[in-house]
Amino acid sequence: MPRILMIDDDPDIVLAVRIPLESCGHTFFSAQSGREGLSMIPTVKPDLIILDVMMESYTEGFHISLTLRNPSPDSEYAPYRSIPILVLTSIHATTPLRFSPDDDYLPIDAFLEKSASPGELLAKVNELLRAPRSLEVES
Amino acid sequence: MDHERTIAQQELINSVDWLIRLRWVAAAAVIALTFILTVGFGLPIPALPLYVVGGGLFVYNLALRRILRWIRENRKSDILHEWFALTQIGLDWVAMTFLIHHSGGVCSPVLVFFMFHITIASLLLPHDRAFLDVALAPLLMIEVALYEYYGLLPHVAVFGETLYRNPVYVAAVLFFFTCAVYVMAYVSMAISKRLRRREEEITGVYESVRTTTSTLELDKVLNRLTEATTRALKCKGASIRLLNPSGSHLLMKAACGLSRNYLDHASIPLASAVIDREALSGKTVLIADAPHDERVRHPDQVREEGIQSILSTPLVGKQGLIGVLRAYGGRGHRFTPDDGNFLAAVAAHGAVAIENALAYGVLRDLDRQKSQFVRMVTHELRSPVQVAQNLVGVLSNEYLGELDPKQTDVIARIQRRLQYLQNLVDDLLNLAAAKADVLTSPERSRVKLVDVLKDLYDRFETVARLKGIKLVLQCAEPASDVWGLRDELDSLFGNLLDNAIKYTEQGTACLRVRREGEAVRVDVSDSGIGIPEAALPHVFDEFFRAENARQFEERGTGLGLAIVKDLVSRYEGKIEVQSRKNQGTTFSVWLPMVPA
Repeated sequence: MPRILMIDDDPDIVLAVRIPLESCGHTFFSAQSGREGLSMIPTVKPDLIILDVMMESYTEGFHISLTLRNPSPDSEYAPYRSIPILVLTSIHATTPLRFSPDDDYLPIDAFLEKSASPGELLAKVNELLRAPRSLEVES
Repeated sequence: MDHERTIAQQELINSVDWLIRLRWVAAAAVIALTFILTVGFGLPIPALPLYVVGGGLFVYNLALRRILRWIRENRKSDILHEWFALTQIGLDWVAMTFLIHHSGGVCSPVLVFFMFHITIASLLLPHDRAFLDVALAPLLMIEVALYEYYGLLPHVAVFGETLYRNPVYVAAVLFFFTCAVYVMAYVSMAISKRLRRREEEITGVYESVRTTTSTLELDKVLNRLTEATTRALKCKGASIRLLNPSGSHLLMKAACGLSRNYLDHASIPLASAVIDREALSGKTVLIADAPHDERVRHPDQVREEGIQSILSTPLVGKQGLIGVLRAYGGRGHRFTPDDGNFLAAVAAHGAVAIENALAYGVLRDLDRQKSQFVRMVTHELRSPVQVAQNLVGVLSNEYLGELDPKQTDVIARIQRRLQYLQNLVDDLLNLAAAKADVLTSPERSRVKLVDVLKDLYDRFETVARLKGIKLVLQCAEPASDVWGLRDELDSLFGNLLDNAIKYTEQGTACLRVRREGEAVRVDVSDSGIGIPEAALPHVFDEFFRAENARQFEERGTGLGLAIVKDLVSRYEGKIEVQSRKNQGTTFSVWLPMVPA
């Protein structure tokens, strides 16, 4: 049963994501802040993390992904480095701040607009869960 | 090499050709005059020596021209030019002496001709060399007169005179000749020196205007101003201190030729800045002996820095006093009142350049803040709409149980309204972002317009086909490059094409590119519902939608064409619309084309 951790401070979007995912049989966990989310990772051991970019600060989501994907072998998150990350965003379309999945720039696996339909969300989630992780191969 | 030449050196180099040209005339004149005087007037002058002088002038001028060409072709140094000029003038002295001897020696009427060369030498040559050259003229003259007086050289008595044997006459002529030569040389040099100084000042001011107005970055403006001042005044250094917003302190903003240590102590409260306060009262202050001047606050620092003279002038912009421009001299009494006037002239335009740069900085900061604001609002506005769409999506996808037809209908209406709201927010933000990003927008580049239109064709072709509309792309000008951003051009023509398809029931929508002069013209035409004549002047207004458009298509924010118009004007292009109700509409866009 895939385990999914969503880190987002907006309970409405958490609900909107939780319902379709749980209906598909995924086990769903949620955290309201970046710190809470990071602390839950070792106990939840998620197969996928869903993040909001803007929480307490504008780039908290990015901060979480950078912490998680820290290349240092001493990092406490080293065992979880290969968990795929999906970012839900509402700022992609209109800002000059274009971020796309890029190993050099931000260690994120996929972006999805918040307005995506439940079908699109499920498709993206299942795709990420199926995808072979290159990092796993390395480790 | 060129940029290191002074104006005087450049003038000398340019004048060398001129001297050679003049000499042709002189040689011809000697020969012609000799002919006229001997043959025409029958004067008893020995013609042959005079013809020899004329011919000699021709011959050595020819040689000089060859040598000059060689110097130019081999790009020899400027000093060679100077020696070349000196040699020319020396040769001329010798020719002149011959001419004078053969036309009556000390009694010769040609004597005054010496003055031409005196003037030329003192105007063109560096002053030490000019005096050397000028000294030759009286020497040669004295020699001829004395030789003739003592009979060592036969006197040519053109006018049958015997004055050359009269010691008083000879002494008087030589005395006055020598005096005249030196006075003439002195006066010419003094005038040329002043003119050169003025010329250098004008060049200096021009140079500083050119460099400071070529940028709007405050730091660059300030640095270039101090550098240009130092260069033009040929002094130790220069500095600019600007008043802080409250006017209580003078803050060191830029300096040239001063040590880090000195600059660390250079930002001071206005109350203790005696010299600058004096300057700020509106006049240029000249300190001739800085270490001992009581107006200098820290004479020890000034001495340590090697500053002996200071020149300080106010920077007065359109809004009033903004600071002080200073020049520093490495020796006492370095600056003259003329230097003060020069510095004031530099400060006058410099202040305007500084003000412009300050204003630009404020605008850019505002623009940045606005962009940031737009980004924040983007998130704040889009996020709730999107979350609502998402939640409604959970309902409509029946994750929470099956829906009856009435419920489905209500939810579909909510979804349509939310979609409209999202489009509206996106359009508004596009418009605001475009307006906010004028100054901070990313680097533009050459964009192939045809590629943009092909992409649009591919994107809209299916939608058009499903509606039963034939989409056509005609490219008469494949090399139509535009300077800009691909996304913006996409948005511009995408909005027009979206409208063309949206407001057409059946028929065709056409994209046509062609070149018109220096512009590329794109027509987006359709066979749709058209725009009523009364509505045509308003189609580019924000939120305007024509009556028939509202009836035909419910969705639409009335912002698409406002975005298009805004983009076209930012590209310095032009847009026109032609339309007939129920027959179709053509939007024509002209954008400046980048040459291939």
